[in-house]
Amino acid sequence: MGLERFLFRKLEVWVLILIALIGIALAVGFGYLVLINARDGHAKGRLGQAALDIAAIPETLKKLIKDKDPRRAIRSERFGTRSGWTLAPGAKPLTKDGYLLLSRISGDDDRSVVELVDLADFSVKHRWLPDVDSLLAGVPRKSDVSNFQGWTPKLFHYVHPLLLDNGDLIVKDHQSPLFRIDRCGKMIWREYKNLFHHSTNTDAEGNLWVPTVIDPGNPAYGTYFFEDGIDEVSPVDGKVLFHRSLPDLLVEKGYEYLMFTSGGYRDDALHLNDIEVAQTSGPYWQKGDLFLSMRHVSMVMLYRPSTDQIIWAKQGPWLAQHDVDIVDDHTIAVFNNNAYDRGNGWYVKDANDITFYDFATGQTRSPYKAAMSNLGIKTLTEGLFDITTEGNVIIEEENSGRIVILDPDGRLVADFINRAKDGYVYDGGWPRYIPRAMGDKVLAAMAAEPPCP
Amino acid sequence: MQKFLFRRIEIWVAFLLAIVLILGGVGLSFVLKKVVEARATPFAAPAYGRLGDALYQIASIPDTVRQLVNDREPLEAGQYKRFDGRRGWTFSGPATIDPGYLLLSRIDGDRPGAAVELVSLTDFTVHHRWDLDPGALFTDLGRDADLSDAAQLTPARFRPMHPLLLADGRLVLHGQTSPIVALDGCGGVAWRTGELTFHHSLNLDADGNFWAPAMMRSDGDKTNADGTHDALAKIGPDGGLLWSKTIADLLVENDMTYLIYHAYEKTPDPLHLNDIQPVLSDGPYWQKGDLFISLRTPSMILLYRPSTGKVVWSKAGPWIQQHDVDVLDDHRISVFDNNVEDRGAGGVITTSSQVRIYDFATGQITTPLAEASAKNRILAVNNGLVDMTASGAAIVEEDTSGRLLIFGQDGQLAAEYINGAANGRVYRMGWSRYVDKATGDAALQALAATSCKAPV
Repeated sequence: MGLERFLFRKLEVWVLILIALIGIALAVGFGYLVLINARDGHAKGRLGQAALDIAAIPETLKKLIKDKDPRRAIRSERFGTRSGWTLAPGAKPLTKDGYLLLSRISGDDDRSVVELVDLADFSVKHRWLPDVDSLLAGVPRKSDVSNFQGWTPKLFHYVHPLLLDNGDLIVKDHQSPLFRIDRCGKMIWREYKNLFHHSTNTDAEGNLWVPTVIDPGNPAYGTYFFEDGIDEVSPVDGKVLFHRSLPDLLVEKGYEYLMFTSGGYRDDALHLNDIEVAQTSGPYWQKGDLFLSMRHVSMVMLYRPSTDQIIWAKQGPWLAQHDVDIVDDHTIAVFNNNAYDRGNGWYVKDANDITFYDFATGQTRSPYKAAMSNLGIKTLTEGLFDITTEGNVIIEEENSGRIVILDPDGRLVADFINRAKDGYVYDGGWPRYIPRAMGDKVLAAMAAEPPCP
Repeated sequence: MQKFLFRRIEIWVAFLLAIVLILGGVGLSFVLKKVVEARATPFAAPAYGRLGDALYQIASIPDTVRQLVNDREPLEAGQYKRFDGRRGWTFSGPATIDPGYLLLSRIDGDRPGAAVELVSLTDFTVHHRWDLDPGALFTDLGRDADLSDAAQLTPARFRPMHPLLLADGRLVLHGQTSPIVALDGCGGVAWRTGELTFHHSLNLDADGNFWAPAMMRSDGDKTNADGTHDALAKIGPDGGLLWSKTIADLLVENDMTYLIYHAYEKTPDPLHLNDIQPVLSDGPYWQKGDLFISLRTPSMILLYRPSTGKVVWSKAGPWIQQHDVDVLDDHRISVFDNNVEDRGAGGVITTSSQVRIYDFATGQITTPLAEASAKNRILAVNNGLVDMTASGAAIVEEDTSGRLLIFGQDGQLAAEYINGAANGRVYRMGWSRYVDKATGDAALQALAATSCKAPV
């Protein structure tokens, strides 16, 4: 009754006009808040965040209504209804090569899984299903640069897992703690002073080398600057043994122009996505040297931590590459995404490539170019390759949820489509080749242990 | 009116209006957010057309008011309060620097307008002056008129760029961006280019042709967010376009695609060509006809050989955002290193802009004026150049601060010019140039021989 009486009370038009004028001034102020906060993509303070959140209400509603699963692969229609592993017609089984540590989103399990697959018959010999909630329990989630949206059991992605001799795994997601888990998925240690991302590799001593994001970063580089770190971690206890800020290194060594060019400031100027460790010395590098891959400058760099020197660097011909591997004592190979933007959006030109660079001649070559083009291997982001002991090449087309295995002459041997029972194809997660001797040893070690609970 | 203002309406009507306005406000703020994001994203298509533009302008009212309150002229220099009111020439050593001349290109705040003066480096007197009227110079912008920046070709905004004095007395120049014009001895237009548009430097090759950075229209691939390509252009002695090539094509042909068409974190101006320096004679590291090219955004100098289409040499850094590369002798080049970093808060020079010397024989870089530069804090946030005189002096133009410094052979500051006006303000420069004595004397003779009724 009171409300009704209030609603039917009368006020004079000039009061309404006055309120409208104040409202217009406030609307301009609100618009200005949206303007200055949306301009550089980062909200400044709670008021700025509130303004952006209000302006995003229509988008938020749209997302809630559409709700497309972000884990689904793209460009997978071309695979028809094919699913799982297929040996190519006429191809011989991969009896000698060994295993694949297959990390993928399993649509059937509605989560990320890691499997040890025998390449001889594509059977799964072991599965790791660590519990994401318990892995991440208690880890702080406050940052200006890191993204925690994937820290859920459904979205967490085990990127480039590493298998240890006893069946333990080193796992992480992009921008997550680094974990050691046992064969049953139970956490042994975790490290999160800085969060880890992209590749996980080992040096000759078995220590781990993983890209990190230094958080909070050096304020001199900007509040939202993604400051990549180069970290060496002990697999025994997760202790950080070596840490170097990549931007600091570049500034000190005269490569500042790569990041802080005036008029071209970018929050993610480098995008370190692989650290590959030299296992032995050779004419062009020394044992312990690191090959660093930086996607946003299309650069591969050879860095020597022992002397803090940059020994060599090369930009292009690869574009937005991932994954640099040492092939022999004078050759490296680079997974060249060939990701272009000619002003009309991102695309892969023709196909991805594996570009070999020979330090002895300074020449590059692309022996799988035709095969990768014929197969339409086109992952815009991510992607990697491994060469097996038998010379076969395992290629992950991550964005499309496909793995392709080529023989040394580039002929298709087998492929894997990560399709679930719901018919959708899901993303891959940076698989890793495991030589047969090591895989057999690990399986034997796990078999000797009591069954997982 | 009074009757209307004092009409009484029920509160629920006001509430209803308020709810409609709030919902409308959320919708409009969504549109505004999309417009701002599109504008901040290089190469993104404009969002929401006229509605988007209108909302953007309304939301920008606080910025617009601030600009109006901040009374600053378009070509007023920045960071000049540190000059303590000094104006004109100041000498800290012997006044005679070199037997040659300085072609001083500047905004004359007293005129006001653009002016070019031929100043003797012996006694610093002005021997000839050109007062430039962009309205008369650029009556025709040629067939690529839409590429020129007409807004910069008005008296209040026109800045002559890197004028070039020929021995016959003609003065050749362009704006930023405009056709190239050649002025005769009386200041009339002798010729004007009819294609493309030009910016930054202007240099001569050994055959008397002009080279200038150009803009070309893009029909498909875009290197710049505004839909243009940076290009090399060779102009004949009479203003005809002899040859042009986009930097994008040049890079793609030389396996340097990563500099322009790389996906992710794209910048709106990924190359920013700002100097083309033709090589005038053969040497152990280059050939006559080669071009040194300065690309500001990747902080890269290229040595390009048009005769073969090959990039012979390139180096990125340690210079950052450099302008102006010059050939010093048969094995050294100089680079004007603006030394500007952007760490997310705009361009900053922490110490000073620098002159770097790169020696092809040793692969070493030296910074001969490091101490004097730091002492005099050269803050060329953009533009800027260095010219070495025949006597070994270094002329450094700090365009954005309206200052020109001359360092003697000993590396110490010998003379300083502040482009101040009677109103106490300092104005921008326009890429001044050293003119050797022979060329300067010949040009003056030619100019003296012309009879003009009324100089422009």
